[in-house]
Amino acid sequence: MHREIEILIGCGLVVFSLVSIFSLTLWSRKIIERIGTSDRQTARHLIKQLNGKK
Amino acid sequence: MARNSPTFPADSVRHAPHGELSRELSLFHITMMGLGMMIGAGVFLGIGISIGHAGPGGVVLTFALNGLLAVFTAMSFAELSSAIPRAGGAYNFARIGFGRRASFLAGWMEWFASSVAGAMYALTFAIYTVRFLCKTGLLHLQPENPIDLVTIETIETIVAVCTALLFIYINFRGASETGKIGAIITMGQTLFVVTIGLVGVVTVIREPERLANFTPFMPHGWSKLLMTMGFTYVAFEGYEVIAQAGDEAKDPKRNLPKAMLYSVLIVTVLYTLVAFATVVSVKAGDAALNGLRPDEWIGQYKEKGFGEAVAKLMPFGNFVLTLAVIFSSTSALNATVYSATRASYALGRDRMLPKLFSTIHPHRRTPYGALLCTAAIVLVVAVLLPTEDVASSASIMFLFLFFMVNLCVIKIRRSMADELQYGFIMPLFPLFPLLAISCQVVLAVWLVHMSWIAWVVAPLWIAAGLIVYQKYALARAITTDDEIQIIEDRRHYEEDVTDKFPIMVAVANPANAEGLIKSTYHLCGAKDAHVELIHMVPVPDQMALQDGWYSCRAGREAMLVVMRELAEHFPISTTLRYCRNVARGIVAAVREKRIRMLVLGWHGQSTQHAFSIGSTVDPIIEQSPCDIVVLKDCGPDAVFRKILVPLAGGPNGALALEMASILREEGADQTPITALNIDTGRHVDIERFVDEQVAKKGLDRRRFTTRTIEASDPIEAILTESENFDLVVLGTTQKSILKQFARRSIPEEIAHRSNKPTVIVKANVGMRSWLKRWI
Repeated sequence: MHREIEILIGCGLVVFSLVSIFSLTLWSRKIIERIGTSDRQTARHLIKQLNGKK
Repeated sequence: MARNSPTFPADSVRHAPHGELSRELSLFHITMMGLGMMIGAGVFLGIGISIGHAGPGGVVLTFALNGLLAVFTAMSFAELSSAIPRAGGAYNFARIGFGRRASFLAGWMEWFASSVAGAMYALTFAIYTVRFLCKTGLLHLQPENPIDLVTIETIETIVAVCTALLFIYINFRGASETGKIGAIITMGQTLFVVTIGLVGVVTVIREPERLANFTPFMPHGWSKLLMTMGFTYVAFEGYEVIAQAGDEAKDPKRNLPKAMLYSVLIVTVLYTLVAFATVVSVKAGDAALNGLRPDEWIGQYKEKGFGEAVAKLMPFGNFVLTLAVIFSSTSALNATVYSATRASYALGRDRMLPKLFSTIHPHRRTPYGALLCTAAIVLVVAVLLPTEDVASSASIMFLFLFFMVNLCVIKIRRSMADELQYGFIMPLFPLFPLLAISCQVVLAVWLVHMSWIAWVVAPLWIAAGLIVYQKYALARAITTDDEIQIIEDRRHYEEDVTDKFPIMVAVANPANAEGLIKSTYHLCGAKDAHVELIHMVPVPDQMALQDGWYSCRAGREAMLVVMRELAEHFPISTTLRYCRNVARGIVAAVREKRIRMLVLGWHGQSTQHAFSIGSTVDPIIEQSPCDIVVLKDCGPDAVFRKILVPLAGGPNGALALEMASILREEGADQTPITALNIDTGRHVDIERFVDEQVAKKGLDRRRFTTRTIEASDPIEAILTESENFDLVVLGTTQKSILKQFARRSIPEEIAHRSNKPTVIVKANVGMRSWLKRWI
């Protein structure tokens, strides 16, 4: 593989991983807060939404 | 530094859920616990070896991608520990998800993985201490010196053994360390790693030409990346220890998942930064490199490569590094010895391992039997295996263990999510656990290139575990089958019912029972049945099963309602049981009583999140080895003259037609039952299909008429069509597992949305059903 392309892919993957980890952590945090601050009924509704149910 | 409190019986908290321990660990403390376990030998050993194999770019990628994989598994741990915030971790999850055999295996693997990781930490401590002593001249050891009959490796092994023995003794003494002190030590470690990373970044800013060290990026090819990822996986092991803090953490449902995710996030950034700093620590073309590329130069030192790089990168690098390694390795060693001891003690306590494992020292209150056995593994591994094989063995075992946890999160969400109160529920389920499982399989397979010994040791240990379970644990394990307790099992008839068709009717309360009577009456009449009435009393985990009496009354009344109507027509027996889970209780009863048809009522509104039809009905449909009939809105006043049976050629067609035939009200209006096929482009010869199914069940063909309509949306078409009928009879579909997660099937959607009485049927398909359950 051409060296520049290899470096580009490599750096892209590093950035992708770090950004994904950040995003997933923030997303999860948001879910935890939403479930945590809801009453049980609302929590179930949120969970349903997360599961892709209507 | 992990929170360690090796004074037992900490495990007893599993049986004392009502807060005997004070909840004093905050989010910060438990995040530090995870960080402390992770930042340690794994990264110090892994960087040098990984640079040698994967090259300068590969080592940075290794840690970044491993971090992503760790986040996937951390989400599984986070979800499970938020729903089941009890000490026990993977052992607990496997017990709940897959039963005793899996939990034994999880405990067995955790014991070994932690013990091997302990050996690795001891070796790391020894390697870096001996290196420091050599560098400072305190230990003068030259290969050419004939006085030195021992090699550096031997001295390292001796130091590792001594260190391991010291910490085994500390664990025996039961010296505890609070989470708060542990957090301070962890902050020190983190500070050190951050410093290295920042020095690396500053160095590059000052000397940008060092970025050239990244060329070639991956000199040995991309496949090496998988190898080094598998090898360094152990560096991300540690966040699962947070799950153990469930009984001591403040607001565990929120803080445990957060702490797991934060610790993985922080550690990934730190590792990536440190790997970057290591690569740029030396300048290409430096005379000290002897003409080697920087990555080759670092890689040649293997596990010591990181140390050599840090020594070049910053002043007093050797000293600072040694301090950091001493802190991190010893604290991690202490934590893993504790963790391994605890895992084997739990197996001993549950009598899955010999009594020795559960023996508690009378004065120290430490499980010295389990500690001795753990010590044996730590010492044997440290003495016999080279460092690379030790790290690989630990990695592969953790890969297997986390693989199991990812399976558990899927299984538990699917089968009992309604019983749990989640504090965190992962999005896009089951994408992340499936991704993690796939990656873990690939990494585990690729590790064979790094260490074939690991691939011999790990499967052998698992095989040994299976044998121990089969030959020892299975017969002796403490039975916790107080999960179902039979309160009443009465026959209300005297005749012989061996030739009769056994139908079980599950009743929940008097209102639900009334809705079942009429249909059950028709079914029993047509089938010449004897009836097993069953009522399961669910008792929450926190209560003893015997305390379920408080909610027995509704069930008794429900059974009386049914008996009043049916007892004079059919032989009836009644069963009342306490259970932890209604679905599991009913499935167990179906198996035990060899039931051939199960009748259930369904209220029609699913309030649960993880299931298609209903939290109780869904697993029963999936797991019961018999025909199933679910009745919705088929109350005592419902009259079924006009019946619609939508068919798509599936395996439940015959049963659906039979049910329609049985439930049809005989009267003046003898409208035939309509078998409806919706033509959405997939051609089904409905006429022929009905002929075959009717013949199969021995039904009167004249009672059925067929009809095909074309529609792009079968759900809307059936719902519109059903307006003209009194009853809709649907067969469940055979969906792929992925589809089941994604959305409801057509019959389920219709059952949910239809305002007409609906019957859902599922025919027992024997082996296929068994296979599906097994998968």
